[in-house]
Amino acid sequence: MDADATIRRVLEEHGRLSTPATALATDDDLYQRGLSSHASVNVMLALEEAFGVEFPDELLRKSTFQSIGSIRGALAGLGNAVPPA
Amino acid sequence: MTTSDDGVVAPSLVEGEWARVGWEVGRDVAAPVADEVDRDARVPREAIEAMRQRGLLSMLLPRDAGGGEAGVAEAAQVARVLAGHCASSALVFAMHSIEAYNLRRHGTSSPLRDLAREAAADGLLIANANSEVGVGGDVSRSIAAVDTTTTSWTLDKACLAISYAEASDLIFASARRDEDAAETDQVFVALRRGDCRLETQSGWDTLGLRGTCSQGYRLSGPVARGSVFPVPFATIANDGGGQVRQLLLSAVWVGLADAALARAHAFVQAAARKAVGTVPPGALRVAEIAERVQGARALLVAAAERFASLEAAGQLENLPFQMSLRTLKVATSSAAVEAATRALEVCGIVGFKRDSPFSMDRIVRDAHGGLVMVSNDRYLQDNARTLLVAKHL
Ligand SMILES: Cc1cc2nc3c(=O)[nH]c(=O)nc-3n(C[C@H](O)[C@H](O)[C@H](O)COP(=O)(O)OP(=O)(O)OC[C@H]3O[C@@H](n4cnc5c(N)ncnc54)[C@H](O)[C@@H]3O)c2cc1C
Repeated sequence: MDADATIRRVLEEHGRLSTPATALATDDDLYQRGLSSHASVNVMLALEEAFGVEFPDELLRKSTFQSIGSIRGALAGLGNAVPPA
Repeated sequence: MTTSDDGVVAPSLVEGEWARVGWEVGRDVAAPVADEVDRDARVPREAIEAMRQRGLLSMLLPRDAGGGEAGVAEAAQVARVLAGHCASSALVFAMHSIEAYNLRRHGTSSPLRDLAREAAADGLLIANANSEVGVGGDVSRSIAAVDTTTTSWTLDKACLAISYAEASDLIFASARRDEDAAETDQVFVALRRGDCRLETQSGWDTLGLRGTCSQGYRLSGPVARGSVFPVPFATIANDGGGQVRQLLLSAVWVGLADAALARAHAFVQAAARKAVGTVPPGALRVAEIAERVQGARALLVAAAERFASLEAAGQLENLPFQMSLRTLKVATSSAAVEAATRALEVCGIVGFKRDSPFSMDRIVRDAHGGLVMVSNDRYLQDNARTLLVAKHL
C-alpha cells in the first residue's frame, strides 16, 4: 500500500470527516472537512503506528495535518514516507 | 508597600507603569463599589470608564492604530492587581484584552485595522461570544453559521454566555464559515453591538463573579464582509488567542490568591502586634498558604516570559506550551480556591463576616468561578488526550 492510501485509510478510520477520505483531493483542507482537534490526535497516533514514526513536537501543528499532501510531506521529512510492508 | 482602603496590600509586582495604573484604578475606582457590583450583579461601569480613560482598554492595541502595544505579560500584571480589588473588573479587563490582542495579531485586513484605530480612539469595549449552547466550552466547533445566502450577511447564534454584552461596543464571535461548512470550519467575526439584537436566554444570579454579567443570549445581527477576520478561527485560537486567554484569565486567579494571602497575612500581623513574643497560631497556616500562592505566581510569571519569547520567535503554536497553559489555568484557579478557604480559616469569624476588613466573602465566592470558567476537568481531559502524542511534558 502506498503512503497516500495509508493516510487515507487512517483518515477514514479516525478523522470523522464529512467526506469519504478516498474522495479527497490531496490538497483539500481537512479542517474544512470536519477534522476536529480531538480527532486529529487519533489521526496522529494512528499515523505514528502505521508508519512506525514519531512526530516531533515541532510537527504537531495544525498546518502539518491540514491536508493529505501536508501529512505526506511531514512523513517524507521524517525519512519514512512509505509504510513498512 | 501600598495599602488600600479595602485592606488589600499591593503585591510586590506593582512596578512598571501599566501595573501602577491598574492598581490605582483598582484601589480608587473598582474597590469602593465592588460590594455593590457584587450585590446587584451589575457591570462595574465605573471601572470600565476608568480603564477607558487611563488607556488600559487600548494598551494591547497596535501602536500604529493608536494603542499602547504593551506586552501580554504587562496586561497580565494589570489583570492580577485589579483582581484583588474587584475580580469582576479584572475579568472585564482580561476578556476585553484577549480580543484586543486578537485584533492586533490577526486583524490585518484594512477594515479591521480601521476598527483597531476606532477602538483605540474611542476606547471601545470588546465582548466575546465564542461559547455556544450545545458545545459548551469546546470552542473548536460551532453550530451557528454566517448566513451568506443573501447579499447582506447575518449571524444568529445561541450564546452560552457573553460577559458584559450590554455594556460592550463590539462583540467578537466564532461561527461556521457558511451554511454548508463543517463544525470545525470556523471564522471569527467582529460585530457592532449597536447593530445586533441581544435576546436574554438565561440569567446571571451566580455564586460569584457577579459583575461580569455573563448572561446567555441569542445574538443576531449583520456581518459586514470586512469584519470577518482574514484567517480561520482555528488560527486565531492556536496562534495567540488561546494562549493569551489562558494567561490573562490565570492572572485573575493569581490576583485572587494574592488577595486571600494578603488578608490572612494582615490578620496574623495584627494578632502578633497584640501579643508580642508569641507566634499567632494562624501564622503557620499563612506560611503554608504562601507556599501555594508563590507556586501559582511563579507559574504565571514563567508562562508569561515563555509566551513573550515564543511570540518573538514566531512559534506560538506549540503543543507542549499550550498544554502547559492549560495546566497553568488549572493550577492557578485551584490555588485561588485553596488560598481563599485557608485564609478564611486563618481569619476565623472576622473573615466569615461580610462587613469586616478581613472579610473573605467575595474572594471565596469569586475564586470558585475560576474552577468553572471553562471547567478544569475539560482542560485536564484535553491534556490527557494531547499527551498521547506530545513528546515532552
Ligand atoms: C464568569 C464566566 C464568564 C464567561 N464569559 C463568557 C464570555 O464572555 N463568552 C463566552 O463565549 N463564554 C463565556 N463563558 C462560558 C465559558 O467559556 C464556558 O463555556 C463555560 O464556563 C462552560 O464551560 P465547560 O463547557 O467547560 O463546562 P460546563 O458546561 O460547565 O460542564 C459541566 C461539567 O461537565 C464536566 N465536563 C464538561 N466537559 C468536559 C470534558 N470535555 N471533559 C471532562 N469533563 C467535562 C466538568 O466537570 C464540568 O464542570 C463564561 C463563563 C463564566 C463562568
